[in-house]
Amino acid sequence: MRATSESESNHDAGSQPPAIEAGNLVRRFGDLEALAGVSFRVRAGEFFSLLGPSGCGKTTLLRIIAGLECPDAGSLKLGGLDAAGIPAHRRPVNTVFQSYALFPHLSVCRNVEFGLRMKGVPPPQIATRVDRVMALLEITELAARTPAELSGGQKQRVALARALVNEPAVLLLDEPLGALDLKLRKQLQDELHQLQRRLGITFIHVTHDQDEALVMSDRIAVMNAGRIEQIGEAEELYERPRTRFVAQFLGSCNLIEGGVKGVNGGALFVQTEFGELNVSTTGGRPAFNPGANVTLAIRPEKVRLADSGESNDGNCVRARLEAMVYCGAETQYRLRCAGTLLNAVALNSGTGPARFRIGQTVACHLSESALMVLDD
Amino acid sequence: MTRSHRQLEPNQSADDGVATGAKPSPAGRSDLLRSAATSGPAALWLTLFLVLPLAIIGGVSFLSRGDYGELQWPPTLASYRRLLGFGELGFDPLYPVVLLRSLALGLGTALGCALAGLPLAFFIARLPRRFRILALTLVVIPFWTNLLIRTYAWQILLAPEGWVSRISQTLGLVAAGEALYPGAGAVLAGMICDFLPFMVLPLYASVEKIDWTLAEAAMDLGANSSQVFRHTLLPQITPGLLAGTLLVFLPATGQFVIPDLLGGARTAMLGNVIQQQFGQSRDWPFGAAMAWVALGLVMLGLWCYSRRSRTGLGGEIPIP
Repeated sequence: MRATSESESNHDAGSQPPAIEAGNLVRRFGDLEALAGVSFRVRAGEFFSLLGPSGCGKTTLLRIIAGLECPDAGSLKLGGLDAAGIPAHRRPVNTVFQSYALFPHLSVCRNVEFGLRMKGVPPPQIATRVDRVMALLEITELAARTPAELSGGQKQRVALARALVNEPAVLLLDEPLGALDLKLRKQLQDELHQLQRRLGITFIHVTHDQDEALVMSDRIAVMNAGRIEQIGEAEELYERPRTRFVAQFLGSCNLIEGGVKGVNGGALFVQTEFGELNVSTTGGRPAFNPGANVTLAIRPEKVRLADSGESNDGNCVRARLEAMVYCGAETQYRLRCAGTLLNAVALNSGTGPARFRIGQTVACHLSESALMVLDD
Repeated sequence: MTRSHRQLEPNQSADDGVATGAKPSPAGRSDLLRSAATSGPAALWLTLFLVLPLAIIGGVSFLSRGDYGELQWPPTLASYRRLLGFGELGFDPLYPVVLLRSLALGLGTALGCALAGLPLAFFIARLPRRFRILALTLVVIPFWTNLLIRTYAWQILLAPEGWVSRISQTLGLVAAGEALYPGAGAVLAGMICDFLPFMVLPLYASVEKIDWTLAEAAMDLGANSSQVFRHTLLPQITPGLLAGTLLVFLPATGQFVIPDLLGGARTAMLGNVIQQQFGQSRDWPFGAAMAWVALGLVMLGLWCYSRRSRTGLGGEIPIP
């Protein structure tokens, strides 16, 4: 879709076809456009997350890959083969459903072997493969139970086993941890990550939880309103978001509007309501013309606070401290500077008393490398 | 589900006992009074008009017929022997055949209703909500028409000069000049038409509750459409299918008006044979024996049903 996602997928194009290649997928439900032209590639063996708020089309995309939904337009390739003619039951893809969708009338063991039985795998082979995958997911002792007799975490494992026993080329996970409590979720995030590394199966994981996506994924596609906003590794998305949506959906972000005053190589001089800010732009960005309007973004933890008298070099703005919340390891500050609110976070690494008082004027240092220029 | 429900009730009454535990005896007496007042009339009614007559008929079935149709001592199993085909004139398969024919009619009707009702139930359940009530009403409407009128309508429809017969003749399904009525086909058509609502309503109730993600999960795991149906949809609609089968099979087995009117004069069914014994033939013991055997078959069916529902296929099973 965008320049980077293309170049990123190119370097391994020679060795193996991408596990999934979507070209301009469109899906409408009546007037609603659930997918408005989505393109991306997933490398074989990658842990790929689709991250976005509910209703952004990520589940629809997953269902199209599984073959449970047909796109209205666009192309989809699985392992280099056009998926359009392949019905759901012949795709080398298995899904872990959000509701788990375990068969309530079958025991755990029967649930796990279901896929192999449908494909007519010989019984001795079924037994070995089922035993192996049940041992892998530590559910061997649950074999005789029915789904009604399982806890949420156990159901999750059974659903995973039922999908993995088929040794799919791609495993689709639809908010697999959504129904679990926080502690179990953290633990399973870790296990899922390890499992994917061990098996080398391509995972496509749908979530609305940014932490989950950041922790587990090799790459993340951030989706909004039926489109992919940006694809990249966790660090890239966090440190160099392209759009307002990505900047604010992944973590929190201060946005500052301004106009370009001048360009000098990689450096940009932006006139804002706090005065002029220097911004160093990273390579590969479109050229900025003087006079253009830009949006700058800076993460709260990158705003450095100091007493107003201390420093006075460039990119330092004075702001009034309006509120302060002590959160244990860190303190959150809310500052007002000429009509704009700035959020800042500082680690409580010192031992002394609070550094600032509410109502005080504070110098906020917005370093030129921490300031990011958004596309829109 | 049903089981947990049953467990709940004694617990609740135990709680009531605890709540009113300070004065156990008056509370217990008022409980007894209340249940007598509520269930008493129905119990009395059933005892007087169902249990008692059934017991009398059971008793009568062991007597024998006098020369003028009166009941005679001593008790004997002659009626039951005759029913099995061992009459005074040696083996005669007439009555076993009547029994089997009635069972076959019941089974055929149930099967036909299931085959016709399944697609219909799925179709109705997938309609937009406001059309579902309408469709269900349409299913039930024929039921509001008198059975005889409906059956005579079939006679006209299936008569040699009726358009159904004509189309069948043109298509070569029936020899030219021949009619579909009277005959086994006409009987089955009339029966299925008559009993279809009993199948569709419980089936629809099951189909409406189907969890379609299970079907998607099966598809995802490599099941083709018939496997999806067998392994995920069928288990979910089994309760409705069983209830419907029971509701159709049991009365269809005893049905004789439709076979009488559409099957021609030759078909003796369980229902009309019993009626004959109590009427023209004046052989009450034999009619009573036949009624009891029919009842026994019904009980057997119910027993199988309750066993099947206890082994559990998931979901709630309505007991008709």
